[in-house]
Amino acid sequence: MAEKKRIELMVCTGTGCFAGGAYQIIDELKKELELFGLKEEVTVVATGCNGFCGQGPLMVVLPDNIFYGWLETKDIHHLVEEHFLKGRPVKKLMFIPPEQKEPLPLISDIPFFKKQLLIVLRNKGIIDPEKITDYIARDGYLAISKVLSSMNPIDVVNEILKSGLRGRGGAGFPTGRKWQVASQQSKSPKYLIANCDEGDPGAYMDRSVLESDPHSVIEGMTIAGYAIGSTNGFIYVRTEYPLAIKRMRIAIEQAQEYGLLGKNILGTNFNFEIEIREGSGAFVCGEETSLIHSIEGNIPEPRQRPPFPAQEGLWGCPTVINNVETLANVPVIISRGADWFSNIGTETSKGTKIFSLVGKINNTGLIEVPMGITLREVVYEIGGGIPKDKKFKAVQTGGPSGGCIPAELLDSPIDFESLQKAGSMMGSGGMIVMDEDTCVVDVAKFFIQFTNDESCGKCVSCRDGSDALLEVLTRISNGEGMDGDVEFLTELAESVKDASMCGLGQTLPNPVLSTIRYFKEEYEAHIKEKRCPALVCRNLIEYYIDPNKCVGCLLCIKTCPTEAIKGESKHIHIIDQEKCSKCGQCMEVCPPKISAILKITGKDINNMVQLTELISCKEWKKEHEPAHS
Amino acid sequence: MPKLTIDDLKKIRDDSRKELYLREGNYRGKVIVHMGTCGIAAGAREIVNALLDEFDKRKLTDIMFTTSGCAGLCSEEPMITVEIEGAAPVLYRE
Ligand SMILES: Cc1cc2nc3c(=O)[nH]c(=O)nc-3n(C[C@H](O)[C@H](O)[C@H](O)COP(=O)(O)O)c2cc1C
Repeated sequence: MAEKKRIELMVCTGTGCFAGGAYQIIDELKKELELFGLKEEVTVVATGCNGFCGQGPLMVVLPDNIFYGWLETKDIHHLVEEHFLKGRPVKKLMFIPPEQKEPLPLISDIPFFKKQLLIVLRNKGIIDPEKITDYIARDGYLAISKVLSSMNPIDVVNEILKSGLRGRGGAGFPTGRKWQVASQQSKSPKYLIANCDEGDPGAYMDRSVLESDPHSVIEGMTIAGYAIGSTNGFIYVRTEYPLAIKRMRIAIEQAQEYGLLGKNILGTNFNFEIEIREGSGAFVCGEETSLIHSIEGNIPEPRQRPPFPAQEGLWGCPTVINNVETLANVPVIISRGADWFSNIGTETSKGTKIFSLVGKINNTGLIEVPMGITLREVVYEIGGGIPKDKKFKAVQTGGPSGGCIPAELLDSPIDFESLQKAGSMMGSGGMIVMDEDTCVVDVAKFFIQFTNDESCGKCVSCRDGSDALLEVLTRISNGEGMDGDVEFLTELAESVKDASMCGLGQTLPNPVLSTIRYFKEEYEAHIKEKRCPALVCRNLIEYYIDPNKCVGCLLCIKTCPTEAIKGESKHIHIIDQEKCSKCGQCMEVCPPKISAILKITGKDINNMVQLTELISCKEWKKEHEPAHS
Repeated sequence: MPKLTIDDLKKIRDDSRKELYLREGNYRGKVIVHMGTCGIAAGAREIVNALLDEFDKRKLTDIMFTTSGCAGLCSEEPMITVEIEGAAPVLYRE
């Protein structure tokens, strides 16, 4: 058959776009292409996560490099006719930057993509993750070829050491050192584990790597296996990631078929197998010693280290456990060299890091950026700033046990040390942006609630300490805070850190400590003035109707689910605080040009109470006086 | 399938790379067929087909093939524009 392909449509089928209907879009595209007789010239490729998840379902048109987002099946007919038949790209499906009118057609012009540097995600959106030949076409498996044909295991360890690669799973431990320790153990067999537990709420970096480029992880694991002298690898993926598991399974089968896994890889005498282990566990299962217990079939509780897994791990044998993103860096480092890699990033943090950028930010999605980029560049350039012109308040990095970093530190570089110095951490790469409407007490409470639920309970400090932290935070947010609470929280948090055995307890106080460090006055406002400055804590806010603005339109009365609003047409309406459930629906329905509903806290409430009583009297008089006269 | 050697792998890479040339973006030139309504009426579709056959026959993978709208000279359609790196664009008509 003659090859007539002139356009390829790279349709994202990562989990987000998949849920948004990417496969319906693909079916519709195929149908319309057939209809216009373009089936052979224009092909559709289902790719892994593109990263710009906030725009999904989406696609990139190659070779023109045009980006289309928020696709709906009803747009497809027009799109196929206009762009793929007549060559007129469709403006209305292109990306329009917030608060601008003109679309940006080319993916390379969209700021979200501009400042990114793709090493781990080098193949995202370019290959079909279910086709091994796509990966090979992009120099896939050349690194393992190089390793097996020209390097000793020690050379490989040294190359990784020299590259400065540090673990992307949280702690940032130098990967080469870990491999070195394992390679020096005399005991065998040895094991290699890829950690794709990814229990952080809202994080999906590792899932995306598996979904968009599973072979890069397989190749990284095989190289690691060779370096430490292991022939057995496990990849531990959570069951909630069905698409990642499916693609990994397909990739393993294809690699076996090509002789890139199994016995005598690439005709050499090196053997390596990979098995998938599904975990459906708690957050703590991602901790390396718990994870090992889980694979062994034991209760996934952490244990004291040392001995470290590299010395005594799975079934008591030397075991290297690395994060998925760490491993996906390995083939590139081998192919392009340690020197190339160590030129990227900062003095102590080399290469790139993937973050999931979410929260109060215009461009949400998955990004890969060079270490050392500033938080400001990520939030304002890649992320496109805060929606609705709200003020930036803080960015929370490092997952549930990371810390909140305030606006003053927006210009600090993102690397392991700087984040730690700021009271946060790299973690696995969650990044949640918060605006002025976020209450830091509420945030701290939210994360402690999570880690408290997830504490395995083995260490008293973590189990009971997080209970106590949660109790005090809840009290403060309920308006029952007492003098000395902040000091108590600080002291308790420090001791939970010191007395816990694993990273969960050692880091869970971070959200409390960092918010106290940077936003102490907000804690004080809750405790001393019973005021929530961000108007979030329910017990500290009340809704009132401004009598000077209310026109008596009845809209709020009709909407209120608890019938808490009294009043008649053309008479000022009043909210009965006893009945009000503080759902805020009245505020939403009150017409914007009236805006009579007030959400207030602290002293303002007292003022409003007096005013409302006054009005009530007047209204009462108005209603009742005529009857008297 | 028999076990691969490193040379086999490189051969697969070279073959697969041809499949992926649209995604690599290394072009030394560009052929644009103008496909406005006027162009299509004047037979631009046939031009596209003929060009694609020719591209395939000659294994041209370093020239980007694209279509675009009307070039504004409807009476001269069908038309194509050829842009080769380092040379001024050339418009061919009818
Ligand atoms: C509570 C807790 C949860 C963790 N969850 C993960 C996880 O989901 N994925 C991960 O790679 N590492 C996780 N880690 C870190 C692992 O213990 C381990 O350090 C990491 O997998 C080592 O790989 P790396 O050196 O490549 O970073 C977690 C640690 C703790 C304390």
